[in-house]
Amino acid sequence: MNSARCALLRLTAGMVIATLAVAGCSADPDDDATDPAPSTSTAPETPDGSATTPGGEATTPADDATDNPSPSPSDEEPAPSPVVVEIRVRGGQVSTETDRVPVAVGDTVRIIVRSDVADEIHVHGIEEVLQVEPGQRAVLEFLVPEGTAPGLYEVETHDSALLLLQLELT
Amino acid sequence: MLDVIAHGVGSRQDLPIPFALAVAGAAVALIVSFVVLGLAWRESRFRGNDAGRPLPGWTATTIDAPATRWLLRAIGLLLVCFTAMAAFFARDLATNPTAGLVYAVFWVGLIPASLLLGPVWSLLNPIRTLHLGLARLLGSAPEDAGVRPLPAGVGYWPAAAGLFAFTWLELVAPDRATTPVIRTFFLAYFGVHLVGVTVFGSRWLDRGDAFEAFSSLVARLSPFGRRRDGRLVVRNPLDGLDGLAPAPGLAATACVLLGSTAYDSLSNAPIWVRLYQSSPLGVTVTGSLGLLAAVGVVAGMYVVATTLSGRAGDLPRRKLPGAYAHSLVPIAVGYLVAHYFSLLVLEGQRTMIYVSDPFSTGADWFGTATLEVDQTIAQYPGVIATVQVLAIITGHVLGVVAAHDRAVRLLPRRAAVTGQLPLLVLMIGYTVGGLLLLFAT
Repeated sequence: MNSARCALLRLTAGMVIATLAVAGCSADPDDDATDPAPSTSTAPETPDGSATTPGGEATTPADDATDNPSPSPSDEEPAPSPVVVEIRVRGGQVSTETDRVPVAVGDTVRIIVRSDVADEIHVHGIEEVLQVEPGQRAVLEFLVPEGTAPGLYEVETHDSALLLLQLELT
Repeated sequence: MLDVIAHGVGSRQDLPIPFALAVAGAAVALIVSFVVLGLAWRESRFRGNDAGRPLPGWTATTIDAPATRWLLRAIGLLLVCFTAMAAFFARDLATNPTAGLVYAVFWVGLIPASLLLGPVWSLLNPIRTLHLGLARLLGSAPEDAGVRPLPAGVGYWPAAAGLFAFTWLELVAPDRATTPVIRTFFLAYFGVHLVGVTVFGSRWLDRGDAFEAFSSLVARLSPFGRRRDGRLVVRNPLDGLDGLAPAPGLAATACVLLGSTAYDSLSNAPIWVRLYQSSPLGVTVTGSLGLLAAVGVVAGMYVVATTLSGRAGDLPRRKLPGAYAHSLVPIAVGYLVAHYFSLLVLEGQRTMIYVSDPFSTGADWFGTATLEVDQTIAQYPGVIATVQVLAIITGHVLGVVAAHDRAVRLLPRRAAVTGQLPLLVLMIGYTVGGLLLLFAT
């Protein structure tokens, strides 16, 4: 192969690498349109004897996805509304509005599950567990801890091995 | 995905890559492909197993010394025995290292190991070591210690089947990260290959053992290799790849690797999860069909492309898939690296912590039990995404170059460009498909 072709190939390779480098450095995982944070308006349910983990902050029931600042005594940033997801498991089928829920470190996540069988729900990575009894509305509320690595974390049932949803932590 | 509730492999998965990066990657793939097509050499320039510069004498002697080879065999036996111990005798808790050892350290770890060191599993493989010991006892060479000679048509087909079975275990099997399932699989695997090696001698393992085939295919891309005259050499990875001789089942093996990795990505997509969780056939059957379909689509596309490409030349049709099979290997390796490298880095570390206390007794055999997984790499999703895209693009470029070289060797000059177009489209299809899967799932 003659040297002119060689040089041209090398130049192309250089341009290609440069393109990728620029695209890689400038692209931000938040750039692409992901589902807006879902919320369903739920009255705060008293959990019926099912395990909940205490959320880190006092929150008001979210009416919509935007940040309704909850009144707080201090003059700091108002506590953000929790990310709420409702899931129903019936006959081995999962129904939920969003399969992939965007969350961020420091968010409070509230997962409300209604199942027709007893089961145990496990949030991978963040390692939260919720016991679910048939016919009861179980609520799991937790804070996404500092230092949790970005990624997709699955929320699954233990016994029936169903994937309920994925938490997308960016 | 390859995890089970309360079992630790894959507790976190990579985020989808940013759209801009996916598009940039696809654009690069396209540009490079056509540059290669239009501007690259007209005569085949890779010399396969004749290429390479010999390693310095002392290095080669050390590597080939019987002591080194027996050391590696011993290490392989120890590693497998340790894993078997954890699988059979330790409690099946989330801290049992078996799943991590099998799916992260072994399966994914074989890739960098083979890229750096050559076909390592041929030495580490305990089946081969045991057979070698037996053969020595019987006083015969291991290749001849069989009942009948290996038929020529067998080739890589057992490896393709074995890899399909393993990826089925990894991606579809219920409770796949639990020790009972893993040990059942490997007992069966061991049994099959013990029979194979008894009947056909050690040559059965060269291409019949799924993991030896996997390691040797990946190792073709290593800068280190063995020349036709037996000397250890440093060589251009593309030369090494060119030296991969067409053989029955080679294309199938590459298609299984590519298709199963694609299915792994797909099986993470919420759409697919909904589908198989609500399927009347049940989760396992639907998953199996999905895996089969993914491999089938990859293989089907490949056969169509090579057949169309071959019309321009005069190679008989049935030989066409084999003639270009080597060019699938870098694409498959690129896919594998993209999908699994973060698993190796993160879950590999976690496994190294768990191996210090396989029986969950509070022990600390290797001093790692109290360490924490260093999650730094996961804090930079942009870096992960870039590595993933680079892996796929690099695999694509190497595949295109390898296919180009083979095409100019096989096709008459007037048809060299048109004959390559179907292959080019195929590989662009694989790459764009791979990037799409990374973006959308």
